Amino acid sequence: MECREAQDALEEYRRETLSDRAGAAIRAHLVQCDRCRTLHEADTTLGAALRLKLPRHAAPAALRRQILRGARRGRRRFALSNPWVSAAVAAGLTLVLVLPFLLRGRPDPLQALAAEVISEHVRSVLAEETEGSGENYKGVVQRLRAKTGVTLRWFYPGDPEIKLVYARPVLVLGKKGLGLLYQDQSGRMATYLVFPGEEVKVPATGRVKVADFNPYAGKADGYSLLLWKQEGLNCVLISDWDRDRFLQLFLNIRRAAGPSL
Amino acid sequence: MAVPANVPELALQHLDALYNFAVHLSRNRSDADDLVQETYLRAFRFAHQFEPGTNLRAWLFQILMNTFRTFYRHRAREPVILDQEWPETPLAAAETLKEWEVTAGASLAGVDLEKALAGLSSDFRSVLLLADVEGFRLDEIAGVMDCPVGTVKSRLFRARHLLREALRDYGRVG
Repeated sequence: MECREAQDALEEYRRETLSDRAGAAIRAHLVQCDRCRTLHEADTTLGAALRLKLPRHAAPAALRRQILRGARRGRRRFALSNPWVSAAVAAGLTLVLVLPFLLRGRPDPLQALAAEVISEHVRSVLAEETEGSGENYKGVVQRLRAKTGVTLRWFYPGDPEIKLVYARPVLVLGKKGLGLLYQDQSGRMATYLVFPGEEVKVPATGRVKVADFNPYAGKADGYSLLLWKQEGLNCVLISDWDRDRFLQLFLNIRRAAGPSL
Repeated sequence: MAVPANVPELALQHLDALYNFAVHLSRNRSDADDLVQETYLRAFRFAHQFEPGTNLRAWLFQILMNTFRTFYRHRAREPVILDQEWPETPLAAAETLKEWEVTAGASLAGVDLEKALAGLSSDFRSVLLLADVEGFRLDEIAGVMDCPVGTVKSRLFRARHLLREALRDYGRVG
């Protein structure tokens, strides 16, 4: 047996997953080859050191609690087909998938922006830190406005077909913003994020014409995304709704004239 | 296929292992928190895709690895490893390896090991952690890292070589 052949099988030899015959061949080679034997012993020592001496980090209690809450919500979703967590997670995944693609080739601040949006979204979903739990979303958004300083003059409060079910503050690149969740009659969700900052540039290509507007449109993992600027704020809308309903929500948001906040 | 309703509970049994992997992978606790949170969110979201009877632990590590690749490594702009069939760099001299083997067992400190490991690329860190710390089989590692078993073996070989070199720089060997 040549050294190269023996070294290629040393990993399986250490794991005792070779056949008896192959294992015997390796043993025989190690007896007569000082180089391979030494390599085998060094790798075995290193593996033991990693297993026994490398510091192990236990999950912090706060993280464990957050995950437990997520698990309970996940279990409810499995049992009751509750769309809240599903849609929120879908929104987070969409951002994970879409924003890096969307911002590919852009300067680092945009990637950092995507990171913070995603992290903020995930944290708030797991922590159940929602402020919109009742029907008075005008009051909720007014409170969020006071907290974040973001003025939603185009605030769309929903209608009989599309309900606003969720509102929360977000923190993006150190700037406060708003996250709103809309639900259609079938229970599916769309997330609308608004945040300030000049770092996000809407790509010049990939735009779609929607009535008088021209947002950027992207698609990933079955979800649609629209990105646009409005009165100096960055606006993102994401959902797995069908195209017509999705664009209708965009128009509802874009054309909303009230409530006045 | 019916959704395995107990996936969340079973998945939580692996929280510490996933967090430990995430800390070493991302090299900081804040990112590890986010990484693990996203891993569990994805696991809960895609629980229906988990096949009962298959390795839940490996599935979770695969989700974590994919999440890291999708976002964190892109952000960190780590160099991508160019896999080779076999490393072209010759092995260290047998005498040096022997010296390393004798010395490391007695004097290697965990903190040095952690620092040296952190200096490797994420693919090398991953393969060492999965193989030597978590004890995954080679085919399971291949699944987690989405590469052939041969690539796993090649990376292990190179990663151990690089880790030994790094540990030598810490003055523990040679």
